[in-house]
Amino acid sequence: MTAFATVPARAVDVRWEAHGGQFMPVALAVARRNLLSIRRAPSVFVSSLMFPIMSIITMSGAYSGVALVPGFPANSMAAWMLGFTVVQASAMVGMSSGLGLIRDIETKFYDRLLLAPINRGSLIGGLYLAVSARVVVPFAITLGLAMATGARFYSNPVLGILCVFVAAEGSALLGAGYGIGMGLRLRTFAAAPIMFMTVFVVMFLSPVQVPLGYISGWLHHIAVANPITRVTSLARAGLTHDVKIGDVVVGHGGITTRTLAEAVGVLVPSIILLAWFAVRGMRKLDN
Amino acid sequence: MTAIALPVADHSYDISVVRQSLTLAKRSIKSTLRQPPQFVPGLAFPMLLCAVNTASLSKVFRNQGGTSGYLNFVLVSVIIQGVLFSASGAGMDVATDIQDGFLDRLISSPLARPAILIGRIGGSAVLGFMQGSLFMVILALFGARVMGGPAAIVTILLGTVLLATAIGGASSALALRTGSAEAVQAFTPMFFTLIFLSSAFYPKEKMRGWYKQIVVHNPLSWFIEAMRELVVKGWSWSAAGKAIGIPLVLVVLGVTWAGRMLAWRLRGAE
Repeated sequence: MTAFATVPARAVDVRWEAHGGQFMPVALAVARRNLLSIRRAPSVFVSSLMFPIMSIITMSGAYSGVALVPGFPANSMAAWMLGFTVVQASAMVGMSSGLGLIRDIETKFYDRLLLAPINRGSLIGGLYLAVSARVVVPFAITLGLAMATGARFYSNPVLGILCVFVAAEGSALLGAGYGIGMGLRLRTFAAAPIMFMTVFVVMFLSPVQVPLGYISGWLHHIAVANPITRVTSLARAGLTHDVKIGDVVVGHGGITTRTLAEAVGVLVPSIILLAWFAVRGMRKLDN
Repeated sequence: MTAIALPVADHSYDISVVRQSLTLAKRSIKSTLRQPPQFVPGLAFPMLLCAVNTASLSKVFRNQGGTSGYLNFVLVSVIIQGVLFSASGAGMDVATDIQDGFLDRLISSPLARPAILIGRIGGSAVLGFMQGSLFMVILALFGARVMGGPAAIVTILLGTVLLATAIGGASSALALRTGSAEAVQAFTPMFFTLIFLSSAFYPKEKMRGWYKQIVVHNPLSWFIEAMRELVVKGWSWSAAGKAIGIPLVLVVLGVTWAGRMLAWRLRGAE
């Protein structure tokens, strides 16, 4: 009787226990499978790349005149749009991991994963690992295109690129948490437009074409409160200011230190919150 | 048996091409309105972009010498953006009809062949008119004004309908050629990209380099600038001529292409 009473309780716990060294191997296997899906079914990944490519080319061209305004912080519209486009593309790549998960749910592959005696957290962790790797592609493409169309960093391109990369990884993890959480709850491809539109709207309610100071009315208030504004500011730090090692590592109270602190202050809690949203989605699916 | 079949066939043949086209156009409009994912993005996305752009760029636009107000400047762009978004739905519907066998059933019925295309493309034109009118009313509520008066409004709506017809024709041609909704969907961003490669959102005088060259030579820029002249400067016969003439040329190209593709598909089916 005692034995029967403990077994079901342990069986429930087992789904979320770390199982010693089992978490990472499973997470890595999930990540590997996710990365291989780019080669096997490239349409979703390629379409997530097309948008930033078109965005950086067309928006830096269409609004090139905006950069002529006296006091505009970047050397060209391509430089200004680089930060936004990388953050947007990364969030889209993160969110598309949720679409991959929906495909697995619809094809019943996920049912087989859930039957296996593996840690549920590793299924989510694997997707996060894959997103962290996948984001390198849009980051590199967008950076290359922006540089080719005239974007220039201020004095220290290495630190400038590092700022862009941190912002890209951060927004990809945000997108992943949102995409996985929504995917586990909605479980149908019909939800894809809603997921895309949400990310799109949140992105566009931040300073896109001009700095915050130029935005007027209702959008200014929303953009100030929008966490993405801090993330794009970090991505643009090296393109709009002189980033020095002292500013970033030691912290002399320069604008970059503040930009970094604000971005990290927004990113870390948001990533944790959305990861919790994803885990809760998995628990709902499990039950 | 013969006595039953013949009257039905005769009655079907009596229906004119116009009536058949109207019936199919009605079906096309109804099927679009029944699927909100097909028309909501075409309404929501341009409005969102217009709201964001107006709040972001009004100050800079004024500083750079813009006299009309940014909302008036983008009025026409919003309408055209919506049309480009939605009119390609005609192609999606034709592709879906091919995939689920409805086109085969239409072909095997005593239906005038042109009605298949006219119905679909006509549906796009009507939806374009509805969309253009709705955008005009909404933007007028937010303070947009058409300086050219009622004649300019009619011209803009006519130009919008013609553009919707042209895009509907081109997307139907694609659908008839490929027979795949996915393929049409993959081409849809191409229509949409055209507007970003035009002077839709910022004056071309402020652009630079190779991008400006593309914008200057993009027929969509000529069309948008003609319509914009009616909005921000007032009535002008030359602007009105361009606002109708340019999309009319596109209609001829799009519909001719669709007709050729329909003939090609019919040859394969018969």
